[in-house]
Amino acid sequence: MNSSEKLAEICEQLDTTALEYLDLISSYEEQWKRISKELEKGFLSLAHAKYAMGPSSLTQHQYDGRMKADTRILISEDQEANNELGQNNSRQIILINVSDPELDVLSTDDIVDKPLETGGLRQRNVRISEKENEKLNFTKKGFIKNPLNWFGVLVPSSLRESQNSFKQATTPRQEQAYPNALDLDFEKRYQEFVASSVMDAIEEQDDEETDYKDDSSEGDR
Amino acid sequence: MAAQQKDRNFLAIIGDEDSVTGLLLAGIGHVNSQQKKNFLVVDAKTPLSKIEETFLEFTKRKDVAIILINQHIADLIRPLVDDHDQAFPTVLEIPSKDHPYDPEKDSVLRRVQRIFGE
Repeated sequence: MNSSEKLAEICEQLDTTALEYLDLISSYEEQWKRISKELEKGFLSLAHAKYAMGPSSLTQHQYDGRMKADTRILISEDQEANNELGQNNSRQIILINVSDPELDVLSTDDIVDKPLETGGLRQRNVRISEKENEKLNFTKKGFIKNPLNWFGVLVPSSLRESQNSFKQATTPRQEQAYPNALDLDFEKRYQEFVASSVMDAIEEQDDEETDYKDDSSEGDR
Repeated sequence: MAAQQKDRNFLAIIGDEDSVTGLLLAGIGHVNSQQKKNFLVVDAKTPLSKIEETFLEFTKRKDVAIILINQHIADLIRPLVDDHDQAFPTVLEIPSKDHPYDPEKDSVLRRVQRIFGE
């Protein structure tokens, strides 16, 4: 393969990488339009709830000091993409709801253990049957309270609407993994690729020039 | 590397009271066993040093995957936000009630402009 063919190939690869990168940016901008809309709705409903409940009832002083995150992030390595690209940088970020009984993502540190109720008496060597154990696990998972309850039992519907809007804002659409567009690894990869390609091209050109000079000097002799 | 990212489960938020309240309603708030919170409410009385300190703490924490920060607060600590070049935790600038989202100030889009030499 001569240098001009190699240069053309590098240019093609650069174009593909740049297009891929621009696709990510455009999906990022689309995401932002959607998120901004949802947040706007959320703020409006929150303001309405504040108006209905009174300004002092929706402040940071009502937050539960023992709160546990209900919405969490799961970073999964995209194996297929990694195999295709031969790199370990492709990731997918998924938001998950830990209240979902199908998921078992709570770590033991996050769970506040409640003592077993034993009718007032403390019993030793009590073996917990499997069913009881399952029941206990269920109550442990159920420990995560709905944040709406921090602000009272009977909260206005606007506060529920606000909660839904904020949930929508943080939840990605399935076809677009939400902060995937921000993957800085991709940026680094792109920059490194640009730098290495340019270096390769320069080296190739230098080699060609020296070869040409050598040939011409031999011709003079 | 993969194991490190697996531990990053939380979203952190630095924002005004309404933004933090809204996002905590969505269920991202977490207080761990060391009583460390993953959020900071910024008001007129919050010193800049506290915001900087919290931002740096969130960037160093191993369990935070995404830092959400109000754009007008990110403007206050712009050099710190721009200096952050790690993929995780990712910094996302979000609009607040009083300050709509301005793409020209977004650190991600500014980085894109820098890459393409604009």
